[in-house]
Parts: sequence; C-alpha cells; structure tokens
Amino acid sequence: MNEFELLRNITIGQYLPVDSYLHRLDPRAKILAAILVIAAVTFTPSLAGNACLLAGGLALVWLGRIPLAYALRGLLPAVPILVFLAVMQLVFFGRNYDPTSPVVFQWRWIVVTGAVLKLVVVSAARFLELLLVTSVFTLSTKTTDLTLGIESLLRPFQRLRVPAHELALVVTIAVRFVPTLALEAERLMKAQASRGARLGGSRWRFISRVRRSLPILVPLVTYALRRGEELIVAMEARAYTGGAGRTAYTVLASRPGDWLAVGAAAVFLAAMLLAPFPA
Amino acid sequence: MTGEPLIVCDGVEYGYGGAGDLALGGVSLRVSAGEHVAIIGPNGSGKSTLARHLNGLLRPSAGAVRVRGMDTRDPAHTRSIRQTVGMVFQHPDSQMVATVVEEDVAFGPENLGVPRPELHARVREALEFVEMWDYRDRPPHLLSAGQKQRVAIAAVLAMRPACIVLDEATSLLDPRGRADLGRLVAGLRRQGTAVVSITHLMDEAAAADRIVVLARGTVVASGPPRAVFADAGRLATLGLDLPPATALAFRIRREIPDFPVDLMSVDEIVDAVAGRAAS
Ligand SMILES: Nc1ncnc2c1ncn2[C@@H]1O[C@H](COP(=O)(O)OP(=O)(O)O)[C@@H](O)[C@H]1O
Ligand SMILES: [Mg+2]
Repeated sequence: MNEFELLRNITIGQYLPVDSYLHRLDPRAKILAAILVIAAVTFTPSLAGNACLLAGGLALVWLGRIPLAYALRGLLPAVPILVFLAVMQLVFFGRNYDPTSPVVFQWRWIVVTGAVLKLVVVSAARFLELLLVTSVFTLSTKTTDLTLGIESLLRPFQRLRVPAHELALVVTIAVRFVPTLALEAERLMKAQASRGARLGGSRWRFISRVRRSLPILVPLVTYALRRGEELIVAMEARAYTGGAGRTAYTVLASRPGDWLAVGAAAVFLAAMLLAPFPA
Repeated sequence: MTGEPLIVCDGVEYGYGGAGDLALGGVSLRVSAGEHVAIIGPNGSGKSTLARHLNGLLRPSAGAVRVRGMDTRDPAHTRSIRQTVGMVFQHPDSQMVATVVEEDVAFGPENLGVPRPELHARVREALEFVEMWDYRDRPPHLLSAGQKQRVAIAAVLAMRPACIVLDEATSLLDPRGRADLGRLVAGLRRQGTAVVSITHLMDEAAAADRIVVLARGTVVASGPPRAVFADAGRLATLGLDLPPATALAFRIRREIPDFPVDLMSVDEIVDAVAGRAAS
C-alpha cells in the first residue's frame, strides 16, 4: 500500500456494489436497525456480551456479502487509535479505576489491574464493533438512499421544525466532498513531498505526523472553504431556494419484509440487555 | 416583449463594497435568443461580475438587467430568471451537489418543481445530449474534469434554459476536454440555445457570433470576431492575445504589407496564400 494512498483505503463512506439482502433493504429500515444494533453495542459492558456482538458484526459482514478481507482492511486505519487508546488506559488508569481489583502487573509507577485489562479489551471490542457496523452499513447503502432515508424518517418531525430536507442535503454534500478532499489531500502531500518534505515514514509516530501534516491541513481547509463557497453560488444558480416546492427524482418504496430487519435488531438488542452475562 | 432581446443590460454598475473602483462601471449589453456572445478581457476586468448579473446572482446597484423583460431586482422573478439563464462555472469540483451524476442533473429541475415522470425524461435527455448517460450512476470523484463539466452542462440543460453562461468553464480542462465542450456549445446553438462564453482562449472566442471586450468594468470593444481581432493594437494594450491564425496573418503582413489580417483559421490563411501564389 502506497503511503500516499492511505486516504483512498478508508472503506467507511464507500459503497460496495454487490447484491445482498442488506443491499436491497429499504434504507429507512436499515437506518433504524443500525441504530438498534449500535444501542446494543453501547449498553453491553461484559466480555461475553462483546464476544456475541463481535460475532453479530461478522454475521452482518456475511449477510452483506462483503468479502471479509475487504471489511477488515477498512478497520486498519483504526488500529493506531486503538493501540493509543489501550496504552493510555494501561499506563494511566492504575489503581484509580476500581481499587478493589487485583494487580496483575507492576513496573515502577505503572500499575495494571484486572479491571483495567478488562476495560481495555471491552473498549477495543466496542470500537471494532462500531466500525464494523458502520462500515457494513455504508458499504451496503448508496449515499442517495442514505439521505433519502434520513429525509423520509425525519419528515414526521417537520412539524416540530426539524429541517428534514436541509439536514439530508448537508449529509449529501458532506459525503460528496469526502473523496474530493481526500484526493486533494493526496495531491498536496505529493506536492510537499516533491519539495522535500518528509511525510512518509513510520505510521506510528503521531506527534511528528501531526506536526508534519500542518502544511497540508492549512491549504486543504482553504481549498474546502473555497469549493464550499463556490458550491453555494452554483446551487443558487440552479434555482435552489430551500426545500419548499421541490419535487424528488427518487422516491423510496419499501416491502413489508424490510421491516423484519428492524424487528430482528430489536430482538437482538433486548437479548443483549436481558441476557445474564457474567459482569 | 416581442422584439426585446433575451437579456438586456442597461448601464449596469456594481461595486463589491469596500474602497476602490466599481467592478462594473456602466455596462450595456444585449443577448438575443440563440446568439453566441463571447466575453473577453484581462483578469479582474469584471467578466465574472457581469456574468453573475445575467441570472440575478448579483443585482446592479445602478442601471438594470432584464431577462425576457423580467427585472432581476424583483425577487418574485428569481426562480424564473434562473431557469431561463443557466450558468456553468470554472471549477469542476464545486458544481456538483449530489453523490451520483443523475441525481445531480435532477437537482435543478427538482428545485423548479418539475413533476417526476418529466423529471426522469429531462435527466435522460440532458445526459444523452452531453454523452454522459452511461455514467449516470457514477460518483463525481470518479469522473475526469472534462466529464464533470459536461455533467454541469447537462445539469443546466435539464432546466431547459434559453441561454447558458459559461464562466471560463474550459480553463481547467485539458485540450481534449476543451474540444468536447466546444462541440457541445456548437450543438447547443444548433438547437437554438443562446450561449454567453467567458474565455481566455481566443480560438474559443473566435467561434462566437460576437465578441465583447471588457476592461476595468467597461465595454471597450464589441463586434464580430473578425472586426475585433483586426484591431490587434488595442487587444495588445489590454494584454490579450489573438487567435493563433490571426497572429500568424499579422506576422505575414510584416513581410507582405497588403496581406489580409481578418483571418481566423489555418484554412483561411492557406486560401489567402494560395490565392496570392496563383495571381
Ligand atoms: N467577492 C468579491 N469581493 C470583492 N471584490 C471582488 C469580488 N469578486 C471580484 N471582485 C473584484 O471585482 C473586480 C472584477 O472581478 P471579476 O468580475 O472576478 O473579474 P474577472 O472575472 O474578469 O477576472 C476585481 O477587481 C475583483 O478584485
Ligand atoms: Mg472570472
């Protein structure tokens, strides 16, 4: 993998065009089901529960007919963050986190207790589960379906002045610009590198990486702001005046079977909440 | 309204606020239905500012702009004016709103409230016109710059405008992209759509019915391309080029004093030279 092409390899936010049950699912049902599964991840603190959730995440990968290697590669960019998180927890929690827990490791002032170890494993597992669920979601959902789904789900709340159409448009534009900005970042990195900047090298040295990415970040933000400003003018030029009076090119149509997925997710959530997992 | 040209600018003045000169200091311009007008002028001469007056993105501080008789200062006409005069901008990346081509082309007519069956027909027709129908489900970042600009033209065409304004739409394209766009413009004129193209490329300007030369916010010359290019001295003082063939004709005239200079293509030069050789 080329150092400069890292940004392209982020699978979150990309669509994988295969035909699967998840791909055919009505986006509204899929959004609701995903929210329920994410709730299950959030409310499951036990080791055994997280093992179930990881298995569930892999089942979703299979259900979406996503090649396992492809799904796992999407998790790669998160590995440094996970390692960083784990190290911080191991080094700094010490005895403060659950003082009753037995010490399993001690070196100078660094103390690791059983409770901290469990915390490290569970938080890493949760992180991976969340990534797995969101990447399966985005890999199996076209952005147009996603935004149509959001708009349609929020429409009942329009009476409460929730700007359904505008929110959906914001999501669309954000998603539309992710690859554009990634390509621009790649271009800037190459330009800086060709002038002698050292951007490559070890992927693990965070501080120096952050410091070195400033010369890229500043022009990138400028680029984004300029494109954004131009986009506003271009939208106005195409008679955009907000959501009122617009028609829709694509309209969602769900089959009754789609809502089964929501039911299954709800049952899964209830099972995770009620199961007598050892704490 | 019969007899009045499609777009009429009468003594348009505009300043961006702040100190300094007016960006436009009393510009009068007419664009008739089906006409192709090129606007040339040095950087900062007010070309883009003028372009943005043609569809009411900017409103004159003195003077008036009327589109089909509708005054651009009247907000009640804004939508209808934007429908009548479409605009394509310079940067290919800041004109696409949606995450796939066909949704983007639908954005304009959606804003106009075009009903759904007709919406689909219009999107298809527009994409077929620019030969991008096969790319309808592609995300924008997988298109070349030239293809993005063709989609931008389709997006405007789907609104069924009477006039399209191209503000340096080819300046970031490679020669092939430029040639493609040039053919599209020719096609637009055949179907009766007026075109106002702002350009730095004199070859492009030479294809117009009429050239308007702007300098410091005023019109300094206007007329058929041959007449405008024959006044090479004035263009040179403004820092503007001649089309390559015209420049060549001027150089031949240095050797052969009565050689014609109102020539705009290599073929015309060949004919002129052949004519002299024969006589
Ligand atoms: N958004 C703006 N704010 C302030 N001044 C502007 C803005 N846009 C253009 N100008 C000024 O108005 C003048 C005309 O600019 P513009 O119409 O963009 O020229 P052109 O398109 O011919 O290069 C320039 O002097 C420019 O600096
Ligand atoms: Mg300009």
